[in-house]
Amino acid sequence: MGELVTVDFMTKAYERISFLEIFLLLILCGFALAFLLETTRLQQTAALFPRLVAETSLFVFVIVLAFRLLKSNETTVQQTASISEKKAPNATSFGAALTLQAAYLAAVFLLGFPIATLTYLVVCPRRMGYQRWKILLPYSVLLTSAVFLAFAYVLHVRFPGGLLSR
Amino acid sequence: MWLQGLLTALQPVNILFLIFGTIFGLIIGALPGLGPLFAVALMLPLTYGMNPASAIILLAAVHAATAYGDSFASILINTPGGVGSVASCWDGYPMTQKGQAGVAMGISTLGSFLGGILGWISLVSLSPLLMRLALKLGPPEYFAIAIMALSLLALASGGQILKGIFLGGIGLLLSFIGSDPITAQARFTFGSLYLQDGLPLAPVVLGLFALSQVLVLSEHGGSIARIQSVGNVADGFKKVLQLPKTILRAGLVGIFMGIMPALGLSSAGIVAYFVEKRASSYPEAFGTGEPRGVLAPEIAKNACIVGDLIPTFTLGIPGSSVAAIFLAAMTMHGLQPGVQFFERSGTLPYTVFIGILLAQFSFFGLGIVLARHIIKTVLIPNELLLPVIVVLSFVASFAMRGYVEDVIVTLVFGFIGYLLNRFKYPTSCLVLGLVLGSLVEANFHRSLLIGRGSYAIFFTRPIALTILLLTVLSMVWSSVKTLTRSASPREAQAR
Repeated sequence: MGELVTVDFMTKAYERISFLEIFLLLILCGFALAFLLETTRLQQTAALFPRLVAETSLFVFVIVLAFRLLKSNETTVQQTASISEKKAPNATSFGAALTLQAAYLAAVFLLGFPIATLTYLVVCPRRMGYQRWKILLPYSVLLTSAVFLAFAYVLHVRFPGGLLSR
Repeated sequence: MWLQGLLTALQPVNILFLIFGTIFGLIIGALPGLGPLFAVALMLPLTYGMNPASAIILLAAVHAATAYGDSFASILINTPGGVGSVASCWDGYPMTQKGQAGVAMGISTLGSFLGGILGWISLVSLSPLLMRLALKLGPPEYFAIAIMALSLLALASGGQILKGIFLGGIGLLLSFIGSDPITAQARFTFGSLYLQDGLPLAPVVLGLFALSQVLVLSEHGGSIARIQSVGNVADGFKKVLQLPKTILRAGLVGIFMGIMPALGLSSAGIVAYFVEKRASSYPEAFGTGEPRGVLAPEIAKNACIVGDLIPTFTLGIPGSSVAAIFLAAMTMHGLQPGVQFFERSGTLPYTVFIGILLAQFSFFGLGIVLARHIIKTVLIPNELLLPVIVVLSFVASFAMRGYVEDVIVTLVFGFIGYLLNRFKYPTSCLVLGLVLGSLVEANFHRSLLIGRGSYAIFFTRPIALTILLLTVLSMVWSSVKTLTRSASPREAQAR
């Protein structure tokens, strides 16, 4: 009986808080917890303030989580609804956008800044449904050139050349 | 002396440097993440062959214009142009989304100009008095000031006090990464040399605001301005003139933050924003496109950067990294900061002061022209604009120090910022903790060292005690105000 109640509560709690929010709280709470553990290895002076802040943060986290789990699932439903309501034809998922950002970052160090940027400026708008090649291509080439020339030659930023330049 | 200074500052060569510096500053400012420090540092080598007055005028023009230009990206694309313009995003961007980009830019332009003028007045008239006050403040007083600023967390949380405190704590912990300010022991660095210096503010802020916004906008599609309109810059000017109390309050905050070493540009806008929110009868309007939420940080930011020069000129103590570059420029050109600068340099100090004043007029004039055109950016469809924001954010993160890790930090905080945004966690609390963390901790330990380990030092120094009492009183007052408001729902409905 007790087990059933626990399972029921867990199921309801899971419904009330989305996976992504759990993930966010895990990141933040994990960081505070890790910092708290780190303070055990530090000198007293270096550990004093971080320990105090980490303990307070974790204490507040427990209260936040309790409130979050006990609250109705309205927020989650509203959030999902608001995202789906506002979607325009050029909308894309956040996962795809994040993956593209990460891929761009990796490409900069593999292919070098100009090639990676040009590719990203073409692929990303296409992925979001932009169809007009006649605008997209000159736009991407001009922007890549402007950013590269301004930063590399005027502001003397040394961009990664990528593996191709080695 | 003032007339001679004016005539020297108005020489064609100086005017040329003034305009060049302003244009350069506006361009650098408009690029996400690159603030006054980057621009002024870049200009320093160019001043080698110049006469001292021209050099300082050029640097002053770059400094003022970059600080103002920082707001372009903050207001239009929710991407802080520099660490000093984080708070400008909070109401500037919602105004842009509501089709009032022009109004917000007008507020920013006139607000920055007025802030610069207020800072300049304090520079030329109140320098000795302000410095005497600043010199009376030691670590316990700085700690009390930092606590007062941290008490703004409750306001920053926008009603979600527990989430705000939690995120403020996380922000503080993030600021503790790196060397301990007293013992220099490495904390939470995992043996990484990169983390020894701590987390850099600009890449974190770029991630939290710019990249996270890209993810949000990717999901929504369309364009940044939800209404296909940008509003009028002149309307922004009118709004500013209707808010004299905000101008005065934010100006005082900016000057105060400027003259205090260690309190600087990164915190001036944020503190002014929350001070304004606390003073407002309708704090709930902040964050939804409230003009005062744009005006306060803009005024404080530009008042701060001029106020920053007060300890530099009068005592030779740089109040910030940018002021340190000014100090280097003065030394490079054979000028002795401090009392000697005023007594033995003839008309030069007056030329420099007039130059700083002209720099404000210069960015104001060019800013009006530029603002009218740049606001149209927000009408560009998201599929073309968002990739550019990503590219500029990554480049800006990388350009500051040339570290790959800075770009990775931006990406990671972009993801965290998106999640915070999605689940309505107050991101500003995290930034507040991150900005104030080192100030709180360092001054707490220094105070204890001075007080030989006794906490009584915070209560036996009159200024520190007064500030702490004021903090407690203002928190109690805010709570009473909130309770009174929630007790009268009819009034709330009427609003």
